[in-house]
Amino acid sequence: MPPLERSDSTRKYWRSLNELEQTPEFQELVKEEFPAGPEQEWTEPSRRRFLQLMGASLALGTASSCRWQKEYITPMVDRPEGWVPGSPRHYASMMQMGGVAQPLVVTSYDGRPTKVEGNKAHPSSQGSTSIYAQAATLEMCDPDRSQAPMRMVDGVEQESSWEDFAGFVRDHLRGQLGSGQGLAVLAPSSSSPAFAALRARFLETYPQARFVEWEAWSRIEEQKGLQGIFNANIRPIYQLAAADIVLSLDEDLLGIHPDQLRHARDFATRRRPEDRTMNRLYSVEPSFTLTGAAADHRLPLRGSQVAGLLLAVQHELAEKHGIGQGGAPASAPNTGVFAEEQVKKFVTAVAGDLAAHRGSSLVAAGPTQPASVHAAVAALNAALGNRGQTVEYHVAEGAPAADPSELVALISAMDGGQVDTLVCLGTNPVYDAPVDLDFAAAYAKVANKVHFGLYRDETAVQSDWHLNAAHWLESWGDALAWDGTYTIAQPLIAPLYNGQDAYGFLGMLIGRGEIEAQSWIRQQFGAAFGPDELTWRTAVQRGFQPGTSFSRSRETAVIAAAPSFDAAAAKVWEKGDALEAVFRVDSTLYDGRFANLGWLQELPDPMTKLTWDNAAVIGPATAKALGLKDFDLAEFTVDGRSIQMAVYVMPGQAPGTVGMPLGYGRTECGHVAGLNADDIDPVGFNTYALRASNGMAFAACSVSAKTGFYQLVSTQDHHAIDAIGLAGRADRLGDLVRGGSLDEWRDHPDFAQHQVHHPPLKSLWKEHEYEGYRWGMAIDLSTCTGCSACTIACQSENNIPIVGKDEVFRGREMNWIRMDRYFTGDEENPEVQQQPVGCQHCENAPCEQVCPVAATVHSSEGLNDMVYNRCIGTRYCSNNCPYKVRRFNFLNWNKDLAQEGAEVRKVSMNPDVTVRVRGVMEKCSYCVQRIAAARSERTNKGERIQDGDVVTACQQVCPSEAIHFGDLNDEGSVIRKKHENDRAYAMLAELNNKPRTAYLAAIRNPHPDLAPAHAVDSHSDHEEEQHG
Amino acid sequence: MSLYQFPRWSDAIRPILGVTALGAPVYLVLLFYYGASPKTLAVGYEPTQPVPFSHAVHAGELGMDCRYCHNTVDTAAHAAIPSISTCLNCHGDGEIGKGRIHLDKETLAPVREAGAGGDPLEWVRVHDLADYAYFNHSAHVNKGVSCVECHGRVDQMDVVRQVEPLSMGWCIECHRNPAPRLRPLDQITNLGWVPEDGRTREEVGLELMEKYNVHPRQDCSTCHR
Repeated sequence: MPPLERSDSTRKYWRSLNELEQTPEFQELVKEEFPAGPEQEWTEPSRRRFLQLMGASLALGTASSCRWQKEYITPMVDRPEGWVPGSPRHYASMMQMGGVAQPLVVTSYDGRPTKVEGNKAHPSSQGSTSIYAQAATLEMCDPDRSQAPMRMVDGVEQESSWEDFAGFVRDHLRGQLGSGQGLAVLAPSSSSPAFAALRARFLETYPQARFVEWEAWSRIEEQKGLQGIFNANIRPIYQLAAADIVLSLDEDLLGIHPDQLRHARDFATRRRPEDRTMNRLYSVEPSFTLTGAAADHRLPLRGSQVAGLLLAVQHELAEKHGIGQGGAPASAPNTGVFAEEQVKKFVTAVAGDLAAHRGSSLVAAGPTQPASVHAAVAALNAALGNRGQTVEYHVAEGAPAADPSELVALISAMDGGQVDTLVCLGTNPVYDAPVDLDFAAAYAKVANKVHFGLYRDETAVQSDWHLNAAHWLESWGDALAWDGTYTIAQPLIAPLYNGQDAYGFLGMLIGRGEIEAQSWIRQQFGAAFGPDELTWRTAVQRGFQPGTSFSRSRETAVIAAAPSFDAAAAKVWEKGDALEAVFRVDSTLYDGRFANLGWLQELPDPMTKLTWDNAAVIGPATAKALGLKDFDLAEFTVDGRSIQMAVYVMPGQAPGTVGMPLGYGRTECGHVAGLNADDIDPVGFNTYALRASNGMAFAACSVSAKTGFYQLVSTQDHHAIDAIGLAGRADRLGDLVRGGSLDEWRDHPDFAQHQVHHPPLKSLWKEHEYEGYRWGMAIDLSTCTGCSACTIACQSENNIPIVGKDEVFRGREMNWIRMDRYFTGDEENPEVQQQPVGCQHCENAPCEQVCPVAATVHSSEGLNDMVYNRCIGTRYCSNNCPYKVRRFNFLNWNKDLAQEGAEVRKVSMNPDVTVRVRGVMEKCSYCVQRIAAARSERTNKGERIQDGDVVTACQQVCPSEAIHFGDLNDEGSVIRKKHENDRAYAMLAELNNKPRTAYLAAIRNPHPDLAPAHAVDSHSDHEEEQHG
Repeated sequence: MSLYQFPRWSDAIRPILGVTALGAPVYLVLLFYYGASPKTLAVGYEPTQPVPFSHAVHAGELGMDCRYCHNTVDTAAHAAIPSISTCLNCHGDGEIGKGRIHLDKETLAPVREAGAGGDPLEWVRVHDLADYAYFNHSAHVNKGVSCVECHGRVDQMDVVRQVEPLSMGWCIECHRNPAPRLRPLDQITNLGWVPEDGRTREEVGLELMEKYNVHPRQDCSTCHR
């Protein structure tokens, strides 16, 4: 048999530095599918104990085998019309994060919210959601949630009641404080008009009181910078679909930006080369973000040097292209990194592209950058004629960013003894306030400390009162989306623990009669949009009020400006220089508020692939200079404050920087994230301990030599596919994930199909015929950003358990969708390609042929069915799966569901999907329950399932529409077109598995002067062979 | 020495020892096969309900259509157990019901209490499939499979009992050969229906399979997800 033939010119892909260097550790991993962890302790039951157990189970077995548990049916006393028991209902709702509404639609079975989706009709979502919204059902059912009001009496915590607290408000706030002298509220950012009205009422009742907003991650610098130019609170709204050239200055447009969903969708429209001309994205950033990973060109630069790069671009534009001459800097930084060839070329290329695409280019700066950068960027966009084309400046009335200086003022008042009562209304400042302000010490000086929140967190345990909040799924709410659209939240379930919502709680503090969120919001809505019932009901049903977005700023006098930049900061980092710590909210836990959600803890970080930990992320060269390597524990010091932290070496981290994700190291959160009271160690490292108010984004940092070892767990080498031995690995990766440049695609649109050539394939078996439906999936690698929302959506839809750090270390994670992250190119500045991999539903499935009990079999529509009840756990199927997508229940992950107190966790389970037990294999089912639902609905009407009827969970959530699903036998279907696309290829097609999932090769649009040369092999010499 | 010898009478057992050794495994296999079969364990299950509701009276004597109460059966997976308000349509005395039938009947007291704001009734599930089997009522009744095929002559039962094993083998039997179990859609709740023109059920069924496009699937994922 002739060997497989690959073109040598394909890019070399690698997944980790270990793999690139072929270290012994990596070779060990490839040998073992499930790598061995520390020895498991087995306590062997004695023979006597064994017989006892046998006797007991036999007796139980006989007693209970006659009939299974008696079940009861409890129909409603009066079932509302149209309410069908056991059928899902969908309600529009909303989740507010950082003062921005995320419009959602929640699926509910018999009054239990089980799944969150995006609101298709809402411009900010268009049907997709972030991972945080997906995990909301888990959060609502978290048994660690605070379940009752608590009160500290003489240093001992006691269960209290809402009536007691009402008494405190009556006697103390209303009685003693009167005008509110000494009263302060610390609340998270909110854009809710009804809440703002309530806040006004609060300040009217207590005119002397303070009301301060605090967010650990705020866009205040952007607001300040634009305020200076437009004389208003301005929000830039980007139109990525209209932008040919995008320059992102440390702005994670596709990641943690509040409008990331719309950005990703718009961006994707320009990344499918057959649809529209491709855009080009330049990204400048210290730590890898999703935006940097999606960029055509990424320049790793220290955060403090980004302003210098902007100066250089401005200077180049003014000098060479005559753009923005008025406010352009007289000179550009040309020392240090700016003297480096790659930076110069980058600046020239960016400036050239921006100049060539006036009116269709876009420059965006991130919240980590100082106000002067934002002002300069706005001026540059104006000079380029982008305003009104790719960026709009909207007056964000009623939605200001939280200003940390207000917190500073509050804390100094607390220190000065001017605060008698502080109410932390949903904030956790003891954990996330800047460390130099020492909030905890100031808090101790406050006589009455009140905390209101979902969890008994770090602040709650230091408070005199703790009041339990209702989850947003349990309460009414309103807020403005990023574009200003008025969005409404309606409760899906009555509060599980009799918690109060923020409106009701603030109403309690006001103490002038009970405030009921629904009627209060209804009242405010009526005042704004008209009092008639129909308007209100339509808005609630739809989830938002259309046409309420912010209006554009009329300010035209945009003054040209240059950012302030100290030339000394341009120095190239050398050993001995201070490092730059880069603080950024974590891509899975955000600022730490989601720390107790196991789904998000276990979700591998999209870039580092670390789970259950954060780490000090250092670039390879910097790590070498410092003498540090993976898993080294070292002491990091910022401004005299130190923490021990594990090191993780990450390609692409800017030289001289250390990435420090926030959100970990919670000490008072829950049984997942860490709980002092129960001796549960915090997960990860608390980097807030280094973050001071003068260095919220970047700070000078020093590091010690290695002080110890800390096992980080990363999934990047798990499920390493070993095709033809280690020797062939490096080539092989390029066959799994395929990509090329726009030029390659233009020359050979089907280049991806020609990457592997193999002899004609013959099947050993008689192949199936598919006459009815033929389900298939297509995943477009060109638009996939790797945000991992699909993984969490799948977890929520399919009742997938989490396994914990130790088990992930053993390779036992259960996520059905694995997000593979490949690097290619220079390890200091690699290109990244993301690839979601789930079961490929092969027509000639290798797993099916080795199952001794026919537990995995083929359906007549081509699904690779997994029959849990037949599975005896031999794991042969997983051994024989070339894609390594099967997941085995090594332990009974759902055992605790049967325990007392875990009842609540059942609430959010999807009743349409079986909960699996120990010893069975599972894997992606192509959301067979959704196919069944669509089939039932259509066939009852005597129709066929139409294209678009079946939407898988991963497809539904995907912000960049990278995933499609449908019937391949339907000639007009989208999926058929995707499979027939020139870019489509099947992974490992040479094995003749005939996978039903097709990947569409990733196309990048590099600048000709910056592009690494990629040659394409010719088509000429292999006519008789087939392509895969 | 005789202490360690079998007594003489034990010789009498020797001839039947062989028979027992051979027969025991057979007996045990048969015992478990038939003893643990759903036909033995499930068929005939007849739990006592909180209200002695008689299907024989309502569906049989009075001729009420099954769908009057189980009104989601042809649109949804679940055939809804009626809410109390449905009962009160006939047995109520207030605003909801105008029927005023058996207003002071003792056995209806729980229904009246529930309707007046008390606890809802807890009916005992009779036809209880395993939780990993997803049965869809609407998929069956819209294709000509009548209630009677699985539930028996409920219109003749005072107390509902299970008459079919509802085991997987039993389901598959019909999925392989549905024809004899089909009937015209307008007769779907007529539990006593027989073909009028003297044709066999099989003949009528084959015709209906064509007419209703009946192709029962036998994939595992048809019922298990």
